[in-house]
Amino acid sequence: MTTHAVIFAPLGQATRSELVVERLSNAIVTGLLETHEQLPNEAELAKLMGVSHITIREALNTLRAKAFIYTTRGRNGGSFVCPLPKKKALEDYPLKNITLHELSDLGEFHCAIMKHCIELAIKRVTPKEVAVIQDFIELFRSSLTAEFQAQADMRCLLTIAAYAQSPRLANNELCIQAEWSSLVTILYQSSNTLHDEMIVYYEMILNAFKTQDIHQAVTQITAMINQLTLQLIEKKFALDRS
Amino acid sequence: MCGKKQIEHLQTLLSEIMGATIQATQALAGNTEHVLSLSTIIDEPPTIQNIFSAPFKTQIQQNVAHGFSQCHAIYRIGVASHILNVQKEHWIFSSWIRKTDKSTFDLNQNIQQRLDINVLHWIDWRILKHYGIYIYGPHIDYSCYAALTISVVAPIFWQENLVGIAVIDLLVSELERVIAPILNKIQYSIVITNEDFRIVFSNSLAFRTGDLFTAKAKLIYESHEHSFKILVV
Repeated sequence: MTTHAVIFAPLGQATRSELVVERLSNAIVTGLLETHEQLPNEAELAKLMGVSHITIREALNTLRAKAFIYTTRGRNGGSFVCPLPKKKALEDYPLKNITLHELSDLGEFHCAIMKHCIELAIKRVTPKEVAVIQDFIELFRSSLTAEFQAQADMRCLLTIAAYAQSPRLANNELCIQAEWSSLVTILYQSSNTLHDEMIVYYEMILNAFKTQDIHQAVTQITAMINQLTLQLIEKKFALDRS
Repeated sequence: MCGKKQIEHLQTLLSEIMGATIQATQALAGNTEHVLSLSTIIDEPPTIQNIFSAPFKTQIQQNVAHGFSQCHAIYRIGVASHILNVQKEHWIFSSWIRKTDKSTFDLNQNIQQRLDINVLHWIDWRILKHYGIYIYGPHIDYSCYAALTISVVAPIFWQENLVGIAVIDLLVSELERVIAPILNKIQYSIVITNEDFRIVFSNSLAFRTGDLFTAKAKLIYESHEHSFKILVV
């Protein structure tokens, strides 16, 4: 559900069918949308993503033509995610569509949002809510595949954002995750150590929640997002030179 | 005490709004249980999808329309249920959302196939099983609608098993439109909190919605029906 809330979150003002295609194809390529999973219908997608039916129809046609989705008719019909050959997954690497500057900018914005979110959340959480954060960090720790790790990571950050009690901050984090989650999935897919490194950050963040240490929380979340941003930039750099 | 009338008015208003919302949630849960008892095939697990088939849909829609008519702050009315007969455990969640013109509502079924119930950590199964209805919030449910929301949750039972929930969400911003005019007439500092002492409304610049209230204050009202407390600072 977290994944879907993020994938189908409203698009920005520069809404075009290409943006819908990019968002959905990134989610398909990185496995956030599972093979044979049914997409919401046209009307629902239009409502969720805040675009017109025509835009969605155009985007779904493109995704169909590129063999990202297939459509069946009948009572249980609809648009479903195609199984993706490995080669195609590489060809459509979400990193290919973003520039170094955009990556860096996304990291900066994400840092800014999460720094204030965690500052407010530390002040505003109840002991019960700290226990929920602990449970979600435990789910992240026990996630075995890159896709589950990325989803659990996203859920931890969105929960912290929600506990800031600011709808605008939570909405901004949701919109950031729409871009961020596909990119971070690539990192979890290609690194054997990243998951362990992120667990260490989350343990320190949890400790900061328990001791109400705002400085420690802000420091750790900044370091965590900066590390992911740096790794994304390195990966993009390597990809562009390969 | 100057403002005594206004405080009494606030108490009545909170009781009326929350009382009507609780009743509407209970009615939806009760009706859903009734539909399940009529429509579920023996030895088959129940499915809340049945409420969308004729003739039950009309009955449930009437329930929903009545629920929305209870208070303008009600933004969403929904039911969620566990699906037992599939390989991968999943939940369905269908909700009706109030349209911006406030007079009509939309059935929003987009998330029913893909609900990860872990996200809805505010659903407390222990309370639902043993005590029935409860109120949660204000909270931000980013998986459905990222707004500050108060949720009223009621259990749906089938053959004495807890199989789902009925939920009515109230928007804090809409409640404030009703509460603030009365609150602002009171000349001393008032804070309205939930049971965790999280500030929901205040007429003082010193207190912000969302913060936990820790200042010294006199509790002048709390109710067993709902979680709001009124404090004088």
